[in-house]
Amino acid sequence: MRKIRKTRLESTLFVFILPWLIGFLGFRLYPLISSFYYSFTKFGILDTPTFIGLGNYIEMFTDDPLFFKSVSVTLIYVIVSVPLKLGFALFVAVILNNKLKFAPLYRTVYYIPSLLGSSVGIAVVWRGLFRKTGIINYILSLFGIEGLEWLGDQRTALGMLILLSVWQFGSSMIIFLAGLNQVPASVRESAAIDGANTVQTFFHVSLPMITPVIFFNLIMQCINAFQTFSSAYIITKNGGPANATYLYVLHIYNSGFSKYRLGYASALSWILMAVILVFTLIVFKTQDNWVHYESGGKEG
Amino acid sequence: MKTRLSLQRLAALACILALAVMTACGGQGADTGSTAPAASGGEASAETQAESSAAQGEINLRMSWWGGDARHEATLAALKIFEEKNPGITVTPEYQGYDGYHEKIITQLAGGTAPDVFQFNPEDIMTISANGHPVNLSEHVGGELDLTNVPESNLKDGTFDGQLLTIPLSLQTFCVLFNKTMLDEAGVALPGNDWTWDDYYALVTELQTKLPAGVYASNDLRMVADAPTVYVHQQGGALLTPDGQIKFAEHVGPFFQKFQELMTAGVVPTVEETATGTDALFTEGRVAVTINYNAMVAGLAAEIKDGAEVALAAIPSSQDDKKLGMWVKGDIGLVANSKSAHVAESVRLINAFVNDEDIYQELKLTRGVPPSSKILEMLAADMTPLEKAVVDMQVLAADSKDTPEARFIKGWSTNYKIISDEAQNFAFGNETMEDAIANIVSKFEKELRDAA
Repeated sequence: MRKIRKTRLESTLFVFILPWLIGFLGFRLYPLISSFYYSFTKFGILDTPTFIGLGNYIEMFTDDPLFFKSVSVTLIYVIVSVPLKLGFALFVAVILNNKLKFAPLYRTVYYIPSLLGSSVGIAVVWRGLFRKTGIINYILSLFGIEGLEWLGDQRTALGMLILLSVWQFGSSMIIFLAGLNQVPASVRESAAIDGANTVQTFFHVSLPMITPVIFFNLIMQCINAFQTFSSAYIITKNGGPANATYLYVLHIYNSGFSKYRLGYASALSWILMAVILVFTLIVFKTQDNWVHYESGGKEG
Repeated sequence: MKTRLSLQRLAALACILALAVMTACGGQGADTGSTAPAASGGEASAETQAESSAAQGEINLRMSWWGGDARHEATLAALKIFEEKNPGITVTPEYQGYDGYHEKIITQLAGGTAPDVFQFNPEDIMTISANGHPVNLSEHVGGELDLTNVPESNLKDGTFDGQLLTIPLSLQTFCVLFNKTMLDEAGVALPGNDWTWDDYYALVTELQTKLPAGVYASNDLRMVADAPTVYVHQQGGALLTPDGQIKFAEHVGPFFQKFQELMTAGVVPTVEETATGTDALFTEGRVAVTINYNAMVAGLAAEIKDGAEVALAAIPSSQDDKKLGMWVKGDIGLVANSKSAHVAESVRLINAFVNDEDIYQELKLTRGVPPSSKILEMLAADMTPLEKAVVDMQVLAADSKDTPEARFIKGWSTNYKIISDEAQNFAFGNETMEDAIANIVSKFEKELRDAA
C-alpha cells in the first residue's frame, strides 16, 4: 500500500513538471544536440546539411577576421562590465541594508532597470540620451563642457554599452541584500565593541561572510555578459562604429541569419559555450582562495 | 485515498491549463509579426472564415509584407477589394516592419510554413531560388498574369537566368535630396539634373560657407548604404560583374578620398556623427544635402525638422563621359510560393497588385513607383509636387542607358556593412585608404567563398 502511494505521488509530481519537461526536451535539449551536429556541417538554412568535419572550427581561426575582432570586443566587455556592475550593486546594497526610511521603495526603484532588461525600448532611450544632441550633452553644456557623439565615437561606444549593463544592477543588488541580511547582527556588534569602525566591520566581517553570494553573482553575471546581444544590435547598429561594439553574439546572429550559414553559426555558438564553461571553471578553481563558507570552506 | 485522487485530478487540470497557456502563447508569438493590434483580430477572423468556408470550397491565401503604417493600411484596404472581386478567395494578411522580416520569411520557408505570397528583396532572391521556392512567373504570363502594361526593363531585376521569379512592385533610383529651405536661406541655387560630381563638391563647399554654425552642407556619402556602389557603377565597375569579377577597388578611390577631404574641411559631418545614422542627420536639419532612393523621399520629407521643403536632383554624373549615371532598380518584389497549394490563385493576387486600378486607388505610391505604366499614368492625375518630383527621377533614370550589369549572391545585404565598416575605419584613421579598400575586396571575396 505504501509503495503504491509512493508511485502515485511520483506520477502526480511527474504530471506537474510535464509542461516544463516538454518545453525542455523540445526547445532546449533537442536544439542543443542538433546544433552540435550542425556545427560539423555546411548548412545553408534552406539546404540539407552536408558533413564537413572540423571545417567550421578551422575557418574561425584561419579565415574569419571578424571572429577575432568580436572575441576581443567581448572579452573587454565582460572583464570591465561585470566587476563594475557587481561593485556598484554591492555598494548600493550596503547602503540599503542600513535601516533607511523608505528602504523598500528604494529597493524597488533600483530594481526597475533590471526588470526592463534588454528590451528594445531601453535601447532606443539609450540612443536618445547619448546622442550629440541628446540630454546628456545638454546637461554637460550647462557646465560648459562640449559633449562627444558618445555612440558614434569608437573610443566611447563600448563604454556606453558597459554603462547600460552597469545601470541594470538591480538583480545582483537584491541577491547581495539577501546575503547581507544573513550576516548576524551579533557578529557586527561584537566587532563594534572590539573597536572596529563601520568600514572595518564591512571589510573584515560582512564582506567575507557574503563571499559565497559574490561568487554566485560573479558567475551568473559573467554568463549573462558573454551573451549580450540586443544592446549592441540596436544601440550601436549591429556593432558599429567600425565594429568597436561587435560583440560575439552579433557575429553568431549575422552568420546565421544575415548570411544564412547555420552550420557555421552553430560552431560559433559551441565555441561560446566552451569559453563560458572554461571561464566558469576558472572562477570555481579560484574560490578556495577567496570564498569563505561558514563551515570552513570544506564543502566548497 | 480520496485526497490523493483529487490531488491527481488537480495535477491533471494544472497540466491541461499549462498546455493551454503554452499554446496560447505560441499563437501570440506567431502574431507578433503584425504590428497593429487590429491585425491579430483581422487574422483571427480571416482564419475562422477560412475554416468555415473551407467546406464550401473557398480558398484562403496568406500574404506577408514589410512596411510602415501607411503601406499597411493601404494594403489591407487593397486586399478587401481583391476579396470582393474574387469571391471564393480570402487573404490572411501578415505584416511587420523591415527589421527581421527576411529572416522570418526564410525561417518560415525552412519550416514549411511560409505564406503563399510574400514581399521579398529581389537582390536576396538568390538566397531562396536555388531551392525552388519562388514560382517561375514567366510560365503564368498570358494566363493569370498580365504584363502587357509593364515594360520589359521594369522586370529585369526580378529575372534570374531567364526566369521571372519576382515582380518588383517598386521601381527606384538614387537621387540627391536638398533641404531647400536651407539652400534658399543661404542663397545657393539648386543644380540642374545634368551636373557632375565636381559640381556637387563645388556646390557643397560653397554652401558650407553660408550655413549657420552646427550645420554641415553634405552628408558623408561614403557611409550612406550603397552610394559607394552607385559611384563605382557610374565608373563602369561593379562589386560583382555578371562574369563573376570584382571591379571595385580601382574605381572607388577618388570618391573615398574626396569625402575624406570634405570631412577634414568640415563640409561633411565627422565619422562619429555619421556612425549613428545618416538619414537622421538630414531629417534633424544637421546636414543640408544627402542622397537616397527616391522611394524614401516621402518618408524623409514627412519627418524633416520644422517642415522644411525638400527638393530633388539627379545623381551627379561621372566626370569624364558626362553619363547621367542613373538607373532603375527594381525593389520590393512580390513572390509566389511554389510550395503553396494554390499557386494559380497566388499568381492572380500578384496580378492584382500589378494591374488592378481600384487596388491602386488605395495603394497609391506606398511602395514607390509602380511597375505598370498604365497605373502610373492613372496615379499621375493627382500627385503632390514632391510625388511628381519622385516620379520625375524615375523617368530620368528609365531614359538613361547606363544601367550597370551586376550580379548578386546569397546574403547580399551584408556587403553594405562591409563597405561602411571599412569606410569608417578609413575615416577614423584606423587604416589607410588603400588598406580600407583592399579590406573591402578581401572581405567580399570571403563572402563569395561562403556563398559558394
